[in-house]
Amino acid sequence: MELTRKDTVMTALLLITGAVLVYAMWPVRVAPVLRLTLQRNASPIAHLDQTRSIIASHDVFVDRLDLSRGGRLRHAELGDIGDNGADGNLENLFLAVRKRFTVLTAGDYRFLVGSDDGFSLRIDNRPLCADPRPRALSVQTCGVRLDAGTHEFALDYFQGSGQSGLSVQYGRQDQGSNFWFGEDSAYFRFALETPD
Amino acid sequence: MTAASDSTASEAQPHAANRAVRWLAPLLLLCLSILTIGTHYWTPTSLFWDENYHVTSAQKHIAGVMYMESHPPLGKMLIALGEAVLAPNAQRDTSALLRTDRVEQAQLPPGYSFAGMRLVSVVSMIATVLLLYATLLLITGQRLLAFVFAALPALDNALVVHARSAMLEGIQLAFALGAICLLAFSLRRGGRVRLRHYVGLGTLVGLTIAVKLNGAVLLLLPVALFLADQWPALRASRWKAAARRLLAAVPAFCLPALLVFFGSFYVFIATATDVIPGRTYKASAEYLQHLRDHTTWTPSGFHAGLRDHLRYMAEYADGVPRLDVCKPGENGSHATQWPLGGKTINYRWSREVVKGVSVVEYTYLVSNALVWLAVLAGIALSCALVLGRMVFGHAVTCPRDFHWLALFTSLYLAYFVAILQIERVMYLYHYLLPLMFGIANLAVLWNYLFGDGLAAGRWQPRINLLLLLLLAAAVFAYFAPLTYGWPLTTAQMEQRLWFDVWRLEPVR
Repeated sequence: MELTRKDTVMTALLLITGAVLVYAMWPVRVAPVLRLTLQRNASPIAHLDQTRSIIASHDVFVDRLDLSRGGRLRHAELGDIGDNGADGNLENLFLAVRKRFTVLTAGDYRFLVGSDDGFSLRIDNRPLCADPRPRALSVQTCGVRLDAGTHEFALDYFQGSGQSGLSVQYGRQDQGSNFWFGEDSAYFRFALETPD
Repeated sequence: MTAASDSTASEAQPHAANRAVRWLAPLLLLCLSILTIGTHYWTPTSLFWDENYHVTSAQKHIAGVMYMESHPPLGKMLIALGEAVLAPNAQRDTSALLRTDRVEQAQLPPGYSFAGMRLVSVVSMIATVLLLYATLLLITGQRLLAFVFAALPALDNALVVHARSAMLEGIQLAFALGAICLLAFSLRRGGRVRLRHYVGLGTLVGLTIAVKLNGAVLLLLPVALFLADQWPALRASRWKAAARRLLAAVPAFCLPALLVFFGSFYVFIATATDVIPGRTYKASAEYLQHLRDHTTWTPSGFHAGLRDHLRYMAEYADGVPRLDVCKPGENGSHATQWPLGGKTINYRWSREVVKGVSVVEYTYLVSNALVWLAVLAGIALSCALVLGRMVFGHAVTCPRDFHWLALFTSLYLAYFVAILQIERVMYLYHYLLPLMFGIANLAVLWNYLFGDGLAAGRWQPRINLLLLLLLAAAVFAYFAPLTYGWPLTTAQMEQRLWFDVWRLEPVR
């Protein structure tokens, strides 16, 4: 009886350890809500609208635009976004997000765009706000009236050199709370992307 | 076939089956260790960490060139042996290795192969796994338990990455485990300790120290052997009998140990007689004269050479900087962090960008967290058991296992006591030797706790053992990219940073 109890305790301990290990080793995945198109430029970037000479391009899927951590373009679960080049630095990078989203309730909304370096935001192909030059991390509030139904979100961003970061939140002008762009709420809905 | 021969045949079958089962475990261990340690051991095809020094020294042994270095010569002589046997670089110009103490990758000839230089370390580590199996089988008599715990070194990322290099730890561990295995054989059930066991132990301990001086912790083994040998006499206060045995045992151990240790120096000093111009190190005028005259094999030549080499080793050790945790890129770590796996060392890396995604191939010294934490837990439990016995007089259910785990725990703790006296910077791989003591301790502790169920043939303790092996294998596989240089993205690397104390850093 004593022997059985000892063995059972050890079995339980090993199974718990196994469960912890599976949790720790499970590949990190997030819902593919937003497709980020990352383009590495051959030359330094001084302006969002400058002529581009792209040397490498790839897509990354994230669940929300919450990519500003410790001066890096970084996702909470996925880690650094935008792999560094052979020189080890994240620089000379263009990032584009195109997303169709559904507005459930018509009204006045705000987008809070934080970026280091510059960005431009268009809704339904109409310029909403922009700062296309290099800058330190700062957050800009951009207001817009949106009808109920589907809308087109287009964000362009670039990272020149030094620190980086990008975040976009949204909320109703008459409400205090904000949501990360990509997160469903009582106001917006986002469909999943299909990774290639 | 007659009835009698039928009967003989049916009796012979179980014997044959038993024999097959007996060889199955070591055969499986051999396959496993060849797979994890031996597969493509010549990669990475570039130098890392102390290979820059040891490959250089080994090449000097082959060419008969005199040099001075911080470690005794045996390990590098054996590294050279592998190169001499396989001779994969016989057609290449390796003369640059003779003109420096630390060779850079660029100085190696194009296409330089590491198959020879890393061979002995790989073979030694495979032998270590098998010796651990033999040791645990001798101590516990449990084949499955011995198999599972002997497999742990072959599934430990830190041990594997070091074994697959032209470094000293893999070679040293084989001698150390050989010594422990001999001790286990000497003290086997029904066996009797004889003087030849002291001689064998002295030889193996001498070999261990002749590879790296930290093997001196094994000087506790002859003490353990003597105590076990003479315990009945000591308990009965038959002091004269014990003293007589001591007078015989001390020289039986010490003479071969000294012979092996200084013998390796003798072979080195007698054969390494060429002096590269400008590279006389700190050789005295007397030693240099012997080198010029090629008389280093004579007693006076050996005496001069040995004195100069030992002085150089002492001065070198004094000159090694202390641990400076504030220094950027400091790879050293305090010994108290080692049982938790701190600090990992990025031995080498290379980056490439594939379809816009940066991936890095690492050779990283990182532990198998399951093995290392289990070893630490085993040491803590063993300490509790020993203290419970000594302080509170708690009964011991299996005295034989208790004595073995007291020995392994003593070796583990003694190593730390010694290491903590050293002021120079030390590194995580200095923990590999006590890690082996810890694995052996864990096995004996497991037998102490679950041995009865295993002996009774119950399935649950067997399942538990296999579950432990499965978990260790899973963690090994998870960290295998850092062991074999398989590409990882930054995010994949960051996911492997399980503990802050590791200070594992992705290359950004």
